Amino acid sequence: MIQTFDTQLEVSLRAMRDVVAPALNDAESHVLEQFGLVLATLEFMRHRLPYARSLHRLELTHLLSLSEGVRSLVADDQPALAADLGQIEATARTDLARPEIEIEDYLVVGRKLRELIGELIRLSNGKSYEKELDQLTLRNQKEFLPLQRAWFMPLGLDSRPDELPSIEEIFADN
Amino acid sequence: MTALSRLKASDIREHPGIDFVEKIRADYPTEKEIDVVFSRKMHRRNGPPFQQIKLERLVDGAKRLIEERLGYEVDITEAKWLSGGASKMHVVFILNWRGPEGEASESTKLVLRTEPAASITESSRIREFEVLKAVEGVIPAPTPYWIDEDAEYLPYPSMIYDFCKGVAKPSVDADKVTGLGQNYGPELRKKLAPQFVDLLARLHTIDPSRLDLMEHFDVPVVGSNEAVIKQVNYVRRMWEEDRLEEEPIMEITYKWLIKHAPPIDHVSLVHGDYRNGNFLFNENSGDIVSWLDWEGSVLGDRHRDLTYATMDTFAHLSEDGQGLLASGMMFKDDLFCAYAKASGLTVDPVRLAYYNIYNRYVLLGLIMGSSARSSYGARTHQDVMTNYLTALGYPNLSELCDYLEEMIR
Repeated sequence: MIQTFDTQLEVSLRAMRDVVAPALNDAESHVLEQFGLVLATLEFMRHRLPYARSLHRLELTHLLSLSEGVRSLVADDQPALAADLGQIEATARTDLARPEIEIEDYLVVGRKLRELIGELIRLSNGKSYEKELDQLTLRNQKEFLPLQRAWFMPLGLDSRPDELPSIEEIFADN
Repeated sequence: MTALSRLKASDIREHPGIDFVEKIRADYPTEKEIDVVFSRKMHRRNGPPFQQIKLERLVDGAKRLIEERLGYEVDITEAKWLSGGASKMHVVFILNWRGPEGEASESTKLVLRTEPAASITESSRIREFEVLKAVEGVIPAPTPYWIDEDAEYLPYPSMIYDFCKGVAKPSVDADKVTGLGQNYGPELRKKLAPQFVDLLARLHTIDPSRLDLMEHFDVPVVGSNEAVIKQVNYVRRMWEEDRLEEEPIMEITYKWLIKHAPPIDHVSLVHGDYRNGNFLFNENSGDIVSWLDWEGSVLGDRHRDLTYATMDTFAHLSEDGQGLLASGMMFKDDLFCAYAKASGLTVDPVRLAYYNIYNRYVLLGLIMGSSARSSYGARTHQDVMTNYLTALGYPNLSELCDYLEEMIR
């Protein structure tokens, strides 16, 4: 029998809240501050671990869509880099189709897409398609932001949490 | 090789080579002292991770520094760590010495401010020392005493200044991290808000002769945007050196900021982090007794502080639900009006629009760049804090997208 991560985190958090925290009453303020942040971080992990894989798959799918749009806009002006982008997209598609792949592999290929998209935006400076590329990128990235903000909502640093969907709603079908 | 190892191995910024560092330096020129500080950071990155420094080591270093500067033996007692701030380490102690005039023996409460191996804000101690000297007697701020600019006595560059009595958070709403969204409550707010605005006006209209003390700052030329471009490059360089992953919006923002950089119309001493949570006050009288965190100060455009202080990240909803109170003080437009009246300077909507974008670019560089990098590399005494603060990234990116969409039509 192997205990779930949820159980491991839950027992640790309960011990810290119920046993350790009361014993820290007289501790220096920087100790209390860091202790509170440790609790918040572990609570956050406990909430989000069940959805982590779905999040990273969705983020990579989203990046793929952006990448395809960018590639079609820059293809004539930057054929070599557009071809490179196409190859990374192919790897991303293969990764998304492999059931055994790890979350970090999604991040590796996603970061390659991000870097090359950033480079193509830099190279578009002064080009006829610059504005269209900027607008396309803004539109695409903005579309995904509610999910990214919702992901961090339990940490309480978003000044407009009411406008965000819950993670449970976002991943209801996954 | 695990997937995690593959991810780490793909990160070229964690162990940067000389060519990588030099290319960024050449591509994005900054102020001279910023270049020194950032280059030192990149050099340190190939070194060992941060190890907690013992209090005794810092006390010993501080004692040797002070004795060298004064030329006689001193005694340090009651040293302990201070909380607060996500960036630097602070130790408070009592110095038993002959006093500033070197005549009568006295005990003075002081603060040692030192750096970890990396931090959310990589900054220059000598610049901070100079700016504190420049504002002495104009703005309530810590009085600087001594500096160990080259880490001759302490493990990292450090400075010593006087301890200011006061609180950063009111007792009624004391659980906010580093003052973000700090609510002072209606009574205190009435007393703090006018001072918040007046001190900003005083800072921006400081006697220009005082700026001569700031030798490690590039001085902008009125009518030119060269200094503004260097300040944009400061963020770009931070982003290039620190990010864990690219965010394409940052590239769009950089292009826009360079193309639209407005010329400086008046050289101001800009605090760089002027907001709730960054000053100490007397909770009984409501007097602001000390402004803190001058490490991001620059000589530049006043609109940078104005837009920073009014960012949503630092605001909270007013009690009557009418809107957001900027830095927990007043509505944004009221703050701009009060500032214009107090300073005699104009508040230019075009420059406000520019610095609204600039400040979000700065925050994203700090949060999704430096903060993420320092916790990823286990480089600070506050990794749990710097990691936590990365959650501020996406709300700010969302605001930035809204502003950019308005501009790129």
